[in-house]
Formats: sequence, structure tokens, C-alpha cells
Amino acid sequence: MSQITIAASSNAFTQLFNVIRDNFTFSKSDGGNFGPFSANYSVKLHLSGGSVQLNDDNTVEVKNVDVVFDTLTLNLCLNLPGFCVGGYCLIPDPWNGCLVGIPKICIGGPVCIPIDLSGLVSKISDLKANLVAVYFVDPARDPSWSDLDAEFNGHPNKWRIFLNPVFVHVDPIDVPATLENIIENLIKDAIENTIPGPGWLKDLLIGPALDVLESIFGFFNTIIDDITGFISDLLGNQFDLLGAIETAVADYFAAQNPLYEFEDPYPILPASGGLIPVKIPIRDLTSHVNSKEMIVEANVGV
Amino acid sequence: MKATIDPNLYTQIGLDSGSLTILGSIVHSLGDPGEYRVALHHGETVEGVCFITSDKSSPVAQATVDLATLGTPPEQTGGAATSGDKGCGCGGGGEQSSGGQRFTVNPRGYVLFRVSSGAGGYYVHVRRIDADPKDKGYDSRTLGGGDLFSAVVLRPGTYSVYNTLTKAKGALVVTYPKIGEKGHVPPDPIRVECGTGSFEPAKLQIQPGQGVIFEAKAPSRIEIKLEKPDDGPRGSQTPSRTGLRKLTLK
Repeated sequence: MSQITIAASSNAFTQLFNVIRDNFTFSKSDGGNFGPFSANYSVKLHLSGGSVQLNDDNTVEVKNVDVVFDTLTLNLCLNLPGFCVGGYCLIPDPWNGCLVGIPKICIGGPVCIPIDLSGLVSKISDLKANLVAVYFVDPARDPSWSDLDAEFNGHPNKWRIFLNPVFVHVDPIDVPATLENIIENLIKDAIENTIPGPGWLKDLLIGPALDVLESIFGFFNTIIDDITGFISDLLGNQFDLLGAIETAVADYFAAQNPLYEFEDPYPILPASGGLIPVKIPIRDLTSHVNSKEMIVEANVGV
Repeated sequence: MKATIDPNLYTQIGLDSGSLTILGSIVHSLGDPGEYRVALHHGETVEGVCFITSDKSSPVAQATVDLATLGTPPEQTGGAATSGDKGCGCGGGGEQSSGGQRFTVNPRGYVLFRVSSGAGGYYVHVRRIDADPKDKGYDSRTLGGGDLFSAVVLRPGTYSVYNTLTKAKGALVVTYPKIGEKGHVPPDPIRVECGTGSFEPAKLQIQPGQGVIFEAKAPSRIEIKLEKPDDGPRGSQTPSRTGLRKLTLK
């Protein structure tokens, strides 16, 4: 039987979780080339809300945590091929094709579409975890220090209890259908603004632009009407942004930010009246949950 | 093949074989073997020179002289990617310049004078280095028999075609592009003979970007002028593009 047993109610556990959740931030920028087009994005997000449930099988289940994209910008660049003039034969060679030809002059160029999706919200629909206790030796602690020296210098050893996710699932980024018209207009505006010149030139170039869009949407095996689905797929799957968020969340909870930590040796009485503080060493610390509470057990010993 | 949107492609409406721009080119055969000096004129100003060797032993049938690079110091150009270009890296300079790009072509071959970029407005004066002082050489403002003038017209509309030397007149209609269909591919060029008093054919209808090759059978200077623009079904104020949503792409 353990010499020390501490319990935190389900509500207390939720409070501990909420503090860590609120400190989570994630930012990433990436880009890639997808054949007919290239794209890059920049994202910054935080977590909010959600429910925590403790289970009798020693697991913690977190559901419906909002993934709030404070910044989510996507830049979609099409290499508009345009069309070419010239490139024909001026003087044919009756025996060998062309004797004198004129070089091509091509009209086209890159068209970039900036899409700002900041403010969108996705969800961590499910996060299942267990608790793991890890003994932490502060790397800043001088090996020659005693436990008392380490405390005085602010680098004591610690027992840390982490929420160790074994499963994290972030829902696909749901680009609202209401944005579809806005995005379409952005595409039109990009072609309109990026390609200078009069209307007749744009009318000449819109055909090649549609060819490119067709190849893009063909690449994603969808149709042009599903622009929002295309963007969601591009971010979530092609760039694997969802996977990156899931990995970041798992790493954040499992290795970076403990739910709770105990100093070792644990201070019982503070220093007073010229006496040094009283501290007891903690050994064999474990933690687990049932449906009502989190339980931490440990022994005292050297 | 590098895509570009040179504003001169759509701001320069109309062509003149005596003032070459980005959409107009001339083909000329030097004929006799020898060393030729080509002076690049922009108005009365000589903006560059190059030299062409017409050599019987040369297998080169086409020398392409890019007038845009001829008139610019070499460090400011991307280099002339032309067949027959020896690429000696020569100065633009003026008439006094001792350097100049050098080209070699077979006497039975041809020299293509073109403008790859920029505003252009050039003509060339080609003269044998050892020519008799009375020999004025070749002035591209007057196309001789066998010369070609290649013209590409992009802007839809109705144009007049005029040979300022023979007074021959013709008409050219550039149709408005069909909007929103597959990417535009200009059809093959059409050929027009410039006779002593007429064009054959005298009336042309082409698509935007389709080439027109004028074959000089008599001294010619071809001017193509926009007479009536065609701004499409909705006029000049509004581009007549259809919305992307209306087009189903499978």
C-alpha cells in the first residue's frame, strides 16, 4: 500500500486540463507544388472549450475542443500558360520541314490568389489519453548541488504527471459554403488584377485560365463548384495540416506541459527561525484515473 | 518557352513593316556572299550595330537578329537566343562602335529581323562592308522582292492594310475570341502577296494572334491600322468574361 495518496476530483482535473489547454498555441507555414499549381499557407491557432471525461478503464477522454484558427491564410498560385503567338514557319523547306521560322512569344504568367480564412474553427473531436508519471531532473541543476541547493537555486527535481494522448483526431477544416462566392470572386479578381491589359486580352486568357483550373480540380478529382471542399482537402490532406496539429497537440500534452508536478524532495515545512526547510523524498509515484477522480500514489524514501 | 505579359503586346495596336515592333518581323535574304554591317535605326538614331557574314560554307539557313538586344548593352539583356548567333557579346553602341554581334548565314539563307521585347520602332540598314560608296544597301523600310513581313495582330477589330509604296489597300478583320472555351490556340498563318498595285487576297479575316505573312512581290511598306475596334459582346466598358461558377469542368 502506498504511503502517500492524493486525489483530485473530476472537476479539479478538468480545471487542470483547462489551464494547459488555454496555453496551447501552434503556428506553422508551409508550401508545396502540386503540378498545375503551387500553394503556401500560414496558420496560427489556439484551443478552446471542450469536455473532459474520466473513465474507469484508466483513460481520459476529451471531446469537442475548438481549434480556433487565429490566422489561416492560403495563397494559391496558378501558372497561367496563356497562349503563344508566332512559332510558325515563314519559309518552308520543300524537303525538310521549315527553312525559316519565327520564334514564339507567349502571353501568360503566374496568378496568385490570396485567401484569408482566419477565424475558422475546427474541432478536436476526440482525444483519448492515459496518465504518465515522469521523473524530471532539471538540466540546469549543477551535479554538485544538494537537494537544498537545487531548491534555493530554483532547479529542483520533479515528478511530473502528463496527459499522454494515445489517440487524437482533429476534424477536417470546414470551410463554410458561404465563403464559396467570396473565394470565387477572389479567383476572378486575381486573374482580373494580375493580368494587366484590356478586356479583350483577358477574354483571350480566361480560356487558358479555365484549362488550368480544370487541371487543378481534376488533380483533386472534383469539380470547380466545390471550391470549399478543395481548400479543405488542400489544407487538411495535401499539406497534412490536420496531422501536424494532431502531432503538436499530442506532443504538447504528453511531453511539454504536465497536468501537475511535485517537487522532489517535497517541501513539508518552510525554512524558519534559522532552520532549514523540511522535505521528504518521493519515490515510486504513479497516477491513474477512475470515473470520479484522478489518484496519485507514491512512497516516501531515499 | 517562358511566359510573359509584355505590355507592348497589347498597347501597341497596329503594325508597320518600316517600324518593327514586338509583333512584326521581316525576313530578308542577303544574297551575295560577303561581310555585312547592320545598323539598327530608331528614327534617325542608330542604336546598335551587328555584322552578318554571308558565307557559302555556312550551313545556317536562318540568322535571327533580335533588334531588342541589338540596341541594348549586353549586360542588360538576357542574351539573344537566336540561331546563327555567334554570341560574341558585343556592345550596342552607335555607328562608331567597333563591336557588334556577329551572325553567319548561307547566301541562300535568310535573316530574320525581329523584336523580342520592348517598344521597338526599329528599322535596319544593311550594307556590305566593302560596298561601293554609291551602293545604298538595304533599307528595311522598303521591302524588296522576296522579302517577307510577318505580322501578328492581337486586338480584335477591323484594320486597314496599306502599302505606302504601291498604294495598294486591303482590309483585315480580327474576330473577337470565343470566351470561356478551351485555351486559345491561334490557327496557322495566312499568306498575302503584295503585288504592284494590290494585295492578294485583299480582304482577310483572322483570329487574334493568327499570323499574316506578307510576301513582297514589289517594293512594299506595309501599314496595318486599327479602324474600328471590336470590344466583344458587351462593349469596351465591361470585360465580357463569364463567371466561373457557370462553367462545369469535369
